[in-house]
Amino acid sequence: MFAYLREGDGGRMMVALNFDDRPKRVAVPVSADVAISTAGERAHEKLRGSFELGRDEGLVARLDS
Amino acid sequence: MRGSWWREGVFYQIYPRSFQDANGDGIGDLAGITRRLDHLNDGTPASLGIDAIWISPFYRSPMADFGYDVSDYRDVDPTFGTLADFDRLLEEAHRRGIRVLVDLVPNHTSDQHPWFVESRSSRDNPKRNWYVWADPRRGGPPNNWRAVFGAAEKRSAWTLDRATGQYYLHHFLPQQPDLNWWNEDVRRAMDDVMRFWLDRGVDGFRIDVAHSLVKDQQLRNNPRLFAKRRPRHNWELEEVHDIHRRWRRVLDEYDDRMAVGEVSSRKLSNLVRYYGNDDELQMPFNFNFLRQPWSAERFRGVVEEWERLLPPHAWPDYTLSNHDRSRAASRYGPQRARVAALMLLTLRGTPFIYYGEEIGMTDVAIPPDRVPARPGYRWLRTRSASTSQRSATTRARCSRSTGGSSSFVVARARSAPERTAPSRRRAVCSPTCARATAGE
Repeated sequence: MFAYLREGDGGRMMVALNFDDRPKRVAVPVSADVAISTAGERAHEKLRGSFELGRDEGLVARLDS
Repeated sequence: MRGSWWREGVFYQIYPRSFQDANGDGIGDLAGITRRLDHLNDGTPASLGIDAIWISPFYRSPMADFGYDVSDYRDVDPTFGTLADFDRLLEEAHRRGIRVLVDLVPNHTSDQHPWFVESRSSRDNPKRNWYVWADPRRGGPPNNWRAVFGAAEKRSAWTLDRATGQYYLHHFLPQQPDLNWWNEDVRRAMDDVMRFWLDRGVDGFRIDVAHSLVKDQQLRNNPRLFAKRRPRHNWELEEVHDIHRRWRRVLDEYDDRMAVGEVSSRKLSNLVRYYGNDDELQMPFNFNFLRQPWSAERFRGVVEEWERLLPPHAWPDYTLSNHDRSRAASRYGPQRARVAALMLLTLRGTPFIYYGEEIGMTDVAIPPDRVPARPGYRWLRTRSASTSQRSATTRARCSRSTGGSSSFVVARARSAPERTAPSRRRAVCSPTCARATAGE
């Protein structure tokens, strides 16, 4: 798992990349909206508390301020 | 802000031979690139949103090394078109807000270049000293330097020119003699080559073998034990940085131009030196992602070390594929290549995409003298790709038939480079059919 935040005037984006061949549970400190996922079908999904990142899935979510 | 375009932009490398053929001879050309510019950026979310292209060499060349053996730096090889075709490409690219980098190949010329033809004609030719000539030593080559290309046992970097009885230096093929970068005339001649293209309006250069150029003037042997691994006297000499400072001054004669250099140094601590004191390359290529196995720790390690070593003025860059290496989709598989692409496009740093990465193109099986990572672009007849005329692509094949997805996708994500206003950067992330939009 490789995760990082990008911050700027436009807000905070979280990038979470799962390099493992099994799903991972990821905790989020604040709620977030999925912007894009390599798994394809998660756009606009709301993330709260924690979420599951599939095997070899990468995801970008906008953190609520 | 000066310099912001290459910090915020997404770069896209085009290997012209394989990208798009416009004249129907089966080989890609400059007019083909022009035809496909809308695919790269037509100003709408339906295109990839590419901000800059780097076009691999299209200069006149006998093609001993696919154009990296240049016989005329100031003309287009007939295979790829004409200077007029280039001017049109540049104009059409700029009209779409796409910047254009051309490849500068300064370490060596073709053996057919008029400079070398003159240089080898006699020992007292005025251009003799434009290349590196030396007498035989004990009946063999002048020293133990090795070329990058060639079978192991024949890898001397020297070839004997029988007519004049001396050896000439070539770190690649014998058809690619190394220029003598100690010679001020050579330096001036290459400055003028740069100005020739800058005057035409190019936005900068990708510089080939930017860490070599200058070799030990005394032609000393490399230490024997390390002759293979630690080429001390023929790569990465301190004086190469003088050349980069010189080139930066040439670029700075113009408005907002830049250079990115191929520096094959494995050590990032060495790589950062090519930024100089913000007076050398704007960016040396960081090739370390190309060498990583599929491991979060390994990729994170590269990013953390790079960020730690970069001086404050320096801007990072990343690349996952290029014309010399196996493509990311072949190294990691299609699903993982998407994850890698998302990483490339969201890290702090300029991403370099290799043509076809956006549709998950893989290497192809090829004859031994070809490079697997340079297959013809798999153009699709989708809405976004078929706005132009009937596509006479090189070996065009719908990816549906090769197991890929039938559509590529452009998704938008916001990136926020520090110190500059966050620009919208489209994440070219696919093949998948989903489209996501962030921050609209």
